[in-house]
Amino acid sequence: MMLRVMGDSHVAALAVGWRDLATHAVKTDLSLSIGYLGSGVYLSSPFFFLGNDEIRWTCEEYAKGFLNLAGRERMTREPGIIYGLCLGFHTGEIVRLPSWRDFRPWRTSAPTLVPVSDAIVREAVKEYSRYVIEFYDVMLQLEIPFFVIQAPPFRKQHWCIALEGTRPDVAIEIDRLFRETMANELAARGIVNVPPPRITMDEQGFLLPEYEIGGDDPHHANGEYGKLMILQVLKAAAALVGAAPRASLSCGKASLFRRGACPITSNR
Amino acid sequence: MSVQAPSTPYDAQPEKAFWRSAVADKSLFDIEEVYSPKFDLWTAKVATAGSCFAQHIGGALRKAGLAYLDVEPPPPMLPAQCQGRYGYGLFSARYGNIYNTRQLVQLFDRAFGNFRPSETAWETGGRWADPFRPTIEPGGFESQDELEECRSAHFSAVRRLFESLEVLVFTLGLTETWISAVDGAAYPMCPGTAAGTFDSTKYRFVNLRYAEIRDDLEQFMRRVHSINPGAKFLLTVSPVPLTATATKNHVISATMYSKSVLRAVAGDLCDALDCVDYFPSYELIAGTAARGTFFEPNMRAVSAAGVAYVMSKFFPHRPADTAVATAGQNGAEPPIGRPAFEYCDEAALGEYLTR
Repeated sequence: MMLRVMGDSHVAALAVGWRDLATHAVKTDLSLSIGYLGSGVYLSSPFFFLGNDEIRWTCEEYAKGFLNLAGRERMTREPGIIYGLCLGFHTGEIVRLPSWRDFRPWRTSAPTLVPVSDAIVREAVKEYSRYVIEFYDVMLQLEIPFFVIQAPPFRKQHWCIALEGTRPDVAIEIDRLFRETMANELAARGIVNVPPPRITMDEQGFLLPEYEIGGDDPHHANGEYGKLMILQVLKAAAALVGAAPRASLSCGKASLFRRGACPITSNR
Repeated sequence: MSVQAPSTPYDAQPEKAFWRSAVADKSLFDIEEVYSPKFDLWTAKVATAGSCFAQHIGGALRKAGLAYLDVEPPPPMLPAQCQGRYGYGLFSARYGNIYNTRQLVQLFDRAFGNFRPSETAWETGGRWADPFRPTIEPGGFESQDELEECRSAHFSAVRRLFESLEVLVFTLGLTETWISAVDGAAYPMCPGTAAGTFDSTKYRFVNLRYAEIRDDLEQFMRRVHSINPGAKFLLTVSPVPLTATATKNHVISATMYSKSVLRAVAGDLCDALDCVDYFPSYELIAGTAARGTFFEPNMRAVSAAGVAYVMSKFFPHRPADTAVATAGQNGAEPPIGRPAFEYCDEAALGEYLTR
């Protein structure tokens, strides 16, 4: 069984972490392949279409990334391949919106900013994420086994905080709501998602300094973070692989790797 | 020396005073001079509030380029197609439908902290609704704290609005309302319909009378003048019939009673007070001259053409009026008419017919 991990730029930390773990002879029954699909910025517009039961990339960068990783142009169900997708938790695109200098999630307490309800933030997240959710729906339709890997915790040094004046408490609350919204969307579809380990976050939820990539990069995590995260990823993959035979007996192969979602009894 | 025939007051009356010349001999679309503004809207900061028909007026004022006040603009991150559902962009603040005068005066009092109703939140199935704008958050708020925080910001915006507006266009919608038996708090909807749970020991039906409505409006204007002495008020009556009545009367009679009382109060206040004007949107749509032309087949909803017609009389000398008649034919900005989203809580009462 092969686990193919692909996604936005946050896969780099996973790749570095896995390389270090492999050097230290950490073993897994899964063979692992990690590759960069493309920048997360393309997720807010159509980046694929479904044709002849195959996913075809309309985003050139994703097409190249997938070809490099999978050795094929189109994505479809392949026996023995499961996917870990580091896509859809690119929270920075919503957190850095300039309007967060006039508005705030209601739980934060900046008196000069106008509070908005959780539902309003969720609407923004769902609108931004509609193509990636559509992508996940198509993967379910094609019975391609997969789970989703969250991006690392938000960085306190992100440009929107350090340079553009978004309040840190506002930024981290939007990040939290983004993750919660996407996790709920995935859970409603029976898709497993892997959140960042709690020990990599400070009390507010920002990435701890020891897991920052360093240099002048205010966005990404480092290989130490990747090590911790890839272990979670492997655990999630192993659990799904192990659950597969039982699931397929009771619900048919459509339910492979979809936790707790028998198509006959679910509410979808 | 010739003797002149004795004259009567009617000899001096203009053409618009005579039914034959003003209506019967004219096409509906050629009827003119139905509105002579008392004050200039073009130089004023204008706000809107009222029943669902007020949305059309607000939209038209905005499109016409008036200094339209919107003290709670939509958060830019909220997708455009969701903004109306969350009560943004429909009125000058996010207060939802203000169907009756009791709501209006209490809105002022609640915003300025002079009235705190005994019931400030309704919980249903773990979601929370604001009794005074029950559908402002589709699906309800996630917690009472969230509701309170958002309402506090709303009240702050409402205070700013009342302090800064120069003309408030208020569309009178209904005389029928439901109030708290405890403290008289007036709700836009019967509790238990859009939100909350109906309890006949806690809520009471009231069909506001002429004197009560007039008193509400006078009280409201007095309050606004206490913080904003120059404020003016342009009253209109919504031509939209009642979706349902809670009286024993036929809905036709209930509608006619309601609209007649509202029209009478508006007219009397307009005659009595320099700071009050009246615009006849009700007459233009529901009057006999219109022959029901501007209602949708259900004879309740006003068509886009009807809204455009009303607004063409509101801005009779505006060159942009030509755009009202022709816009939309070339794929440009749509004509002044019904907005893509129509926010009318009362319409939900129609669902009770089939239960």
